[in-house]
Amino acid sequence: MIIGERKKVSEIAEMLAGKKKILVSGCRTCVAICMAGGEKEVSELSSALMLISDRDGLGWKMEENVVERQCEKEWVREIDDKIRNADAIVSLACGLGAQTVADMYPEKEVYPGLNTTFLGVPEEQGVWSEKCLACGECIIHTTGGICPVSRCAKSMRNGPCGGSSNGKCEVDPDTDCAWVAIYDRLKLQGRLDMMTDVIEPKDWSKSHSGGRRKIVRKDLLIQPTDSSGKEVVE
Amino acid sequence: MSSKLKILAYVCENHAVSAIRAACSSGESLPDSIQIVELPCTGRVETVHLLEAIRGGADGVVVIGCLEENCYHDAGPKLARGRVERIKEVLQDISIEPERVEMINVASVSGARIMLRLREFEKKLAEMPASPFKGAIK
Amino acid sequence: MSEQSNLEKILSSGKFAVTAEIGPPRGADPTEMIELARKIKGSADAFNLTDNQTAIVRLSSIGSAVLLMKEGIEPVIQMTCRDRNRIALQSDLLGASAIGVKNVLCLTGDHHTFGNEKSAKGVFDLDSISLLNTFKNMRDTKKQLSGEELDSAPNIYLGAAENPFATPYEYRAIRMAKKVKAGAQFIQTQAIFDLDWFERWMAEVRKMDLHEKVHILGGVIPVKSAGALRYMKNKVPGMIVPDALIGRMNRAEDKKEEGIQICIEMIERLKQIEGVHGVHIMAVMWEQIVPRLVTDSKLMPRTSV
Repeated sequence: MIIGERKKVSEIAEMLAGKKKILVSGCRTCVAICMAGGEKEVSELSSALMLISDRDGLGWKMEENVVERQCEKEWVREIDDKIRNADAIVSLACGLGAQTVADMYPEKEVYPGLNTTFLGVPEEQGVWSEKCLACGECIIHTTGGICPVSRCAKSMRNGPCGGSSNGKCEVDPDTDCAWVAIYDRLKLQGRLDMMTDVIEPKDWSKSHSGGRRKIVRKDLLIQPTDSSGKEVVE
Repeated sequence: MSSKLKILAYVCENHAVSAIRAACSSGESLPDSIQIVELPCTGRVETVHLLEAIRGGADGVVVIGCLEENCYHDAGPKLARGRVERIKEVLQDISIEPERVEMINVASVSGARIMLRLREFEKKLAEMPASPFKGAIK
Repeated sequence: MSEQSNLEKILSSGKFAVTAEIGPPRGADPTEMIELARKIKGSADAFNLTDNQTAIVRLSSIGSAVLLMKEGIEPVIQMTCRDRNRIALQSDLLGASAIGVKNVLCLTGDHHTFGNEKSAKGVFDLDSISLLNTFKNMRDTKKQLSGEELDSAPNIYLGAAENPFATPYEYRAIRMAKKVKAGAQFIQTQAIFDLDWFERWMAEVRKMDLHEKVHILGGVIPVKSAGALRYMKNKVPGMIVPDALIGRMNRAEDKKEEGIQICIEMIERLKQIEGVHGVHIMAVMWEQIVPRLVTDSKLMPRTSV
């Protein structure tokens, strides 16, 4: 899922200088599960912002709301009146949710309430870790089901670097070395021979390096569009 | 001076309330500043409840839960402590004294201890500059 | 075929080679580096010029090579994958070859979070092994990575690093075999402080006949204090420093002299190990000591082949 982390309240408050009617809008999907932008976090942020407003006499009026999936127009449309009524929208959704609102309401100012941090998984209560870089070409079948592109700080393709120390990453001694994990996994599976070949460099053109990516599924299109699947901004 | 203080206490109805009752029945009395909100478990206290108490004019908020190993609901006081810590960080960030929010864990037999801790908390709040939210409606 | 590098000639003739490291300055004035080069010239067959080592911004490796070649020094330029993508790496190799650089050490590079530009975007388009393979193909097939033909091929002797002290330990010899397959002709190892450990690794290397396919230069670092050893043991990832060595340094009255003696003993012992073809001296911030180390290890004079 998409993992995010709320910006400091003081930083958000600074962005909102001069605004009056503020909508804090969360999302019930990824960022709710990672406890960064769901219902509780929306009330917490609103309340903290109101503390500032009350103390400093800013006169903010706070509206709270959580949509099912802020990255989908259908769900955002449900809070059309709230958005129209606000002069600033603080999105506690990921960058996708925030931009969906911004693109649907180009005249409205949208402020990011959280930093979209990475694609990751919950490891245990309160711990999330990065496991995918959305590189556009998955190769984990060659690496024992462990992604070296995201889990190795250097995205090594040919085994661990010389900084792998006691099975940990040179960048952070609390982070496991992805290639030690891959080695152990392939050893367990009796497939260590996979680590003896020289692996070609990655084709980064399938990642963001190849430019902004878009997928068009012709079988799913309801209205005919041009071959690029041209976007409609409402 | 301290009689003007307002402290909101979120108290677990299990060991924590028993501790306060025990203290009261042995002749001690709760400071006047303290208003108690009983909860089935301190795990029910959300961060917004702490912030809203401050915003509503309380000089301080205290969450009184059971000892972590005694929770009827497993992890209540642990969660509450985490939330108190999180809100301390938020308060620090927005320049409000983080000491206005505290967590206390007690066993049901520790009546004297809880009274002592509450008086200490009250004293600390009394020494702070007045809360900017003093006199708010709630 | 163009002229081979001095280092290649020495290694392929079976002689015991000496390389040493020079760290370029953190500024545009090369005077001190040039003066140092004049002092230590002749004490090694070739000198490695580091590439923004530990991600600290320094005068570039290729720029330093131009300056030091004028002083009669043969450079080994280090190239890391941290700061340059495949376009820049291939371009710099062609540039280096054009100005007469003949030795390149292909590295992945220390992560930039260690350095003094922590907000940098790490590149890591290639890794050390794919970099080696790319350069090998440029030289041998006159083709760049995409498969397109070059107008002319670079003339280059390819090296790589290997660290016997990093995890997973049992993979380290296999990984070196990969580097050899990818094009490494010489290997400079991470600094050796635990010789027993290194010898166990060399036994694995010999079992795989790797010592016959690549020239291995054992890495050494002269240290001035027990603190420096402790620092490397505890703070530098992928280093193994035995406590006995730290103890010996602690007990020594003249720490600097003890450091020199430890290093000389290490070099003497490395000379005895089957399959070790040379020594690589990384006298970080203490480069002036290299001639003394080489002389006292009875490796002087160094003569061009």
